[in-house]
Amino acid sequence: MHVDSKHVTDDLPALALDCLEAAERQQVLAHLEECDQCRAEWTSYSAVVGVLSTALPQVTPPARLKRAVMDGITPPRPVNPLIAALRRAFSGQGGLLRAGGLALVLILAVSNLVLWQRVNDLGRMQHAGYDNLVLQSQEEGSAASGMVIYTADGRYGLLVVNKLEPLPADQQYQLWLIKDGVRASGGVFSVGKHGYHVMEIYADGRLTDYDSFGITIEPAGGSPGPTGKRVLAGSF
Amino acid sequence: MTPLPDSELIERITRRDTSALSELYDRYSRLVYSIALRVLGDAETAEEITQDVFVLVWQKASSYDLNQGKLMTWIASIARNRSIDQIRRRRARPEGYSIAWEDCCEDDPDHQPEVEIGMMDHHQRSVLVRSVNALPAEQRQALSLAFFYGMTQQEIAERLNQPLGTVKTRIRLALQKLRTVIQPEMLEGREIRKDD
Repeated sequence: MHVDSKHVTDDLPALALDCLEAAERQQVLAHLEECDQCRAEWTSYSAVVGVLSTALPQVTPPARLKRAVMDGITPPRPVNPLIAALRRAFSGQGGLLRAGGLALVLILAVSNLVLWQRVNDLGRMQHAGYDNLVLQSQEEGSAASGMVIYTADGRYGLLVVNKLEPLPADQQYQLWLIKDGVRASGGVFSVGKHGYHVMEIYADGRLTDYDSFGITIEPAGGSPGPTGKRVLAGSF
Repeated sequence: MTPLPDSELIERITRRDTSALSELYDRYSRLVYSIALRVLGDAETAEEITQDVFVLVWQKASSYDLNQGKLMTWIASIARNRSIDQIRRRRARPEGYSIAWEDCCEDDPDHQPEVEIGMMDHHQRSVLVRSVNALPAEQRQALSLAFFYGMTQQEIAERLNQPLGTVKTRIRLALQKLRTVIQPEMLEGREIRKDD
């Protein structure tokens, strides 16, 4: 949609409240990409919605919650031992080297799934009770790749991505867990300058219960539903 | 000791100062928890959302732009978005907390809570609450279903058995009206201090 196309002023309050249908939302967001006037309007309505939130009566959360928050920003958090082992493999001293190795493996995986299956590390991983799902780039010519590595029972998993484009500060990537067409957020993340990132996946159920995974570009902090360009996807 | 302004707190958080996040939590945890609790109607999940929001602020503090509004509004928006996301994932909302504006946001002149740093003062809140409650009932109802329930306009139309266009108009008129009454200091970076 171009700037000279019809302004979407009437839909901006609903966009600010996030109550547009998905298709409408996509259209409006596409217009905002190129229309400063409508974007300014949307910003002002979003601020109104934010202010409305602050008018609610205040309730004090349980005291223990602050400890949980502070613990949450101070790694390491208690995680499944298997996940902790994976984290150690891809971070810390020598992590860059291992990350580079993983990046190479991921590129191979995208270009040749059969070859990927023969990679020794993966074989050991599967033998050790892990499985994986390769996420393919959705853009022609993109070298981006990804993989979901999960415990065999599907209860815990990590997302590993490589060569995703670093995003501006007001955008983040968001992982979507898809089942029967319903998309649930699996977490938001940003990548470093090399496009590499590892993230623990949070899901309500087992990862293996989902049909597929996708990654889209969203406003910083994530969206209630996917709104931006899909960059990686993979199905069981 | 004079509390730090929001702008300095967020700057310190970008420098990985955990004491700054601790202070930010003390300042805004009630706001975040209250939003999550009101939207979700479930204390346990509201706690999870609150934790999630502050960890996100810790991770993404650098993406906050002071020019786009108050830190409080940014944090409140994250809290609501996360809560709505959660409620859409589970496609149900437990009973327990009213979603009617007039129930949750009474303008009680006898109840003037202590002004908290960064929060709107009693007069501002009173203006806002009165404005919401002055909206026509059908606009208030549509606004509540979108704001608290995370319903889309189509879902609201089905719920109320009204044409979609009617619901769209109600939502639009409600927010247009509220935008006219919200004062600039509610939106911008004016920071209210306890010792003001």
